[in-house]
Amino acid sequence: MTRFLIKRVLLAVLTLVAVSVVTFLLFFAVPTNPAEVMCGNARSCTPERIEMLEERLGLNEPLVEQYADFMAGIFVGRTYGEGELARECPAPCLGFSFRNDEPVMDIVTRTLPVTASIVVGAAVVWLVVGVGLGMVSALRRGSWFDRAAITVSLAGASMQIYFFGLLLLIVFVYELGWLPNPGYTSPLEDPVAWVSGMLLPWFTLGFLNSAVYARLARAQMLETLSEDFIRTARAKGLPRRQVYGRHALRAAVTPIVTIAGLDIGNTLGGAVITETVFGMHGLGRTAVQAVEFLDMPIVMATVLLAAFFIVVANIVVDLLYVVIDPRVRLS
Amino acid sequence: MRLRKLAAATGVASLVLSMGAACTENTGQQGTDEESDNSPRIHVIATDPADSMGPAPEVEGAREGGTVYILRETDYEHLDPQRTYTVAGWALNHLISRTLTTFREDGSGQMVLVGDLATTPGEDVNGDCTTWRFTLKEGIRFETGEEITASDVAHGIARSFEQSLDGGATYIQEWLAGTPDYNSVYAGPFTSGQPFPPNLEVDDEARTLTFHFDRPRCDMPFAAAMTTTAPVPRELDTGVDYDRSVVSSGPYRIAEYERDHHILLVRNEHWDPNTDPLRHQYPDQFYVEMGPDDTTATERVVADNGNDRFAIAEDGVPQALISEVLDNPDVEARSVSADTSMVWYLRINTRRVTDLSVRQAIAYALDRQSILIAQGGEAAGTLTHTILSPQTIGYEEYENPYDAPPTGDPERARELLDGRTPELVMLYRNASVYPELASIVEESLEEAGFQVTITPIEQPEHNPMTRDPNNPYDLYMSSWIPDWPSGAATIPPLLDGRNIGGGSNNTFLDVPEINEEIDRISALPAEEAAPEWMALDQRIMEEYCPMVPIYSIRALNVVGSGVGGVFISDFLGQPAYYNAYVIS
Repeated sequence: MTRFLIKRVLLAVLTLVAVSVVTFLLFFAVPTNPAEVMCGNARSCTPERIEMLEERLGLNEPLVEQYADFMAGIFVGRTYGEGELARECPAPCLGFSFRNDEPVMDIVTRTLPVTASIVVGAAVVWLVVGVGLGMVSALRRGSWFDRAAITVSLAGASMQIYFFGLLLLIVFVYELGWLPNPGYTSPLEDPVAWVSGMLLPWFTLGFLNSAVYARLARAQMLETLSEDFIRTARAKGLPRRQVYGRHALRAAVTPIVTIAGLDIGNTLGGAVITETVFGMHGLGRTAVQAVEFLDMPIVMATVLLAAFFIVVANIVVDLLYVVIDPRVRLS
Repeated sequence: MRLRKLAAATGVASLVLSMGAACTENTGQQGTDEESDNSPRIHVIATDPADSMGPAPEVEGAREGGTVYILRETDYEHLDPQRTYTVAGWALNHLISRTLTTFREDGSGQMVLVGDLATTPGEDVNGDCTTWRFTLKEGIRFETGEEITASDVAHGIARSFEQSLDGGATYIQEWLAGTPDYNSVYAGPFTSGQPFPPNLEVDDEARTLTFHFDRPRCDMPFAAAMTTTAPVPRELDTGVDYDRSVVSSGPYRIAEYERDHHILLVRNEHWDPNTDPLRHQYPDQFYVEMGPDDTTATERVVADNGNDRFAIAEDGVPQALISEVLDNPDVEARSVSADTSMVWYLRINTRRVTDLSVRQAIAYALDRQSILIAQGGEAAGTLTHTILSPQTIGYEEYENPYDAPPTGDPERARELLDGRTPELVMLYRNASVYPELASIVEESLEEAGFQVTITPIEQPEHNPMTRDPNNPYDLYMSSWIPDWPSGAATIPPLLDGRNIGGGSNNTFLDVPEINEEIDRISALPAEEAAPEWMALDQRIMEEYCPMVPIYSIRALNVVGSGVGGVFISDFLGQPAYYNAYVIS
């Protein structure tokens, strides 16, 4: 197990370094100079002013040096500027936003809990509702419940967050006034406000994703139920609950865990549309705005974080395989 | 001295300029028709010092108390006054930062430039616009209770020179330094160790700041209304972090600021209404909520539930919701709208399209009406044919030299082309409604015989590309919003040949006679310059046609039923909050 973990962590670090290099190179492969973009809306944008901005942003340094400084800042911190206006950026330093000089680490620590709140709650909804519906449908194949569940999941899978979310907002917030305007409040400050502000995003993202999971879970369960080992278990006279709960469910759930792990990791990198529809400033929305303004330090941070979540999700999924499926051994 | 002389001679405000456009004010009278003021706009510079003194006239029906909510999608780039250069930032800054001069408005279409921290909009000491003196009023205090001194204002100006504190307007820095590369002359108080920039005389005892310029800067009273001149106490200046800890000189102070989430402004007890000609302190608090985009914010304020009854959707009504707002009498009654000084133009690259008759043919052929309809029709703007916006001081509409119907006159264009079929390449932003606009331009010009190719470019790259004098494009759509309502804030930056490359002259018109005329008018006092700018506007359009003005943008915002006193400011082109109040 330890050997497995060390190998996977080393691989994860290599992946993250590769992602950081590619992101950095891609950013500078864009023909536009970020200093020119920042200057672009100003009344005058003389070559002197562009040069001044490049100097302030450190864009006049060689590319390798800029990359090395950025990476070094993550581990040992950096000092920006000189004299009275110098700013310390303690490790892990992700730099300062080109656009408003805010420390990127502050932006990440502020926006990540918003996205994490959306994703964790929505994941509970889509796993409980989606997997639950799918499993029950499979067990009652051909029944009215099965047909209804298939219809609902089809409807859910074909809907878009921006439509469904807006619809729920109009009905439950604007017209009926049953729910407050969605918004993020720290659960440590006010758990009730956190839940009430998150209900609609959870339900919207959870419901739409649960449609996919319901179909996946149903298909997996049906396939598993037709396997020889299930027939054997039944033939041996095992109780129905044990056949389904202990043997069929564990086998059927393995691919669902893989997909769920990647989905959660991926969505943690930014649930852009959900954040936009419900007016929340999470990691995804921040990343999109950063790309729009060529705000490189934020782009780097959000891309690295998204990659980090995917990598970690993969490791967690691999570890879960061992727990769920006794046939899998780590080597 | 000219302004003072005028005051002595007339004792009233001067520079009366007019236009005809409707504007509405949110009077808080829900269920009744809002005042639709079709009277001419009057934009003036106050010459009577009494105009610069407080208290500001009471807003009818206003009461104290309550919280006004401002809904917007994003956080402010900066709140540090020296770094604020967005109209939304200025609108909020009105509540927390005072400046040497300011524009006083009440939503009726009257805009008066008055002294804010200063007793008047400035004294032209030598009568040639090279030396300007501002005397501070007595008894104006920071939120700390400390009296604001000339040194505090000078420190604000000085810190705007710092490279690390960039982003704000740069007029005064460039004028004091005598060069656009102002940093080469003075690097700011922190970097250089010198407290104030050269050519700025500070006398704390006399409470005066005297600006010395190397050439006439007759628009100094306007430039002094930029937040560059907001006072900052040196000992509380936290440099780059001042964005979050602005020391208030206005009626409200920052009590809470959580980035990307909210700002809470509460009353500043040390603000004295008797010194302030502009602002009120009606609500107990202003709460800025960041997050909802324009659609969500508008829907919320339209629904008018809970705290949204006291809210303003600041980002405006998106095109898709315009009819929902205007077709609902209740919602329409509590919306505010007005033409702004922002004008959209089809700019013509005169280095590539060198033949005047071809440029004139473009002006005749362009279907401006379809462009406006694509943006939302009459609710989104008003067609115009002048370079200067109708909000400009001295504005007088002249006859359109290319008197085509709004949908264009392809026949007349074809006559001008005389059988030629010029090839044109148009650059457009690959975002939002721009592809549709480019298609409209393409179709209308091709109907007149042009061969048009449209080429997309990513939004952030558009402006740098069009500023490049060697860019390979003939046409591009760009807007312009002047920093103040004077011709000097539009024609020189857009059409002075010496601004090619670094400035905003992306038509690359460079005519020595025009440049000389710009210099001549720039040296005139504002009241004399106003009609001259208008005449130059007409001359440029008739003789050079470097751009086709299309329409001036109309702002439209929905306000909750529990808020009154909100109006679209001519200066900002968006809602102003200093008259806002909560309806009981």
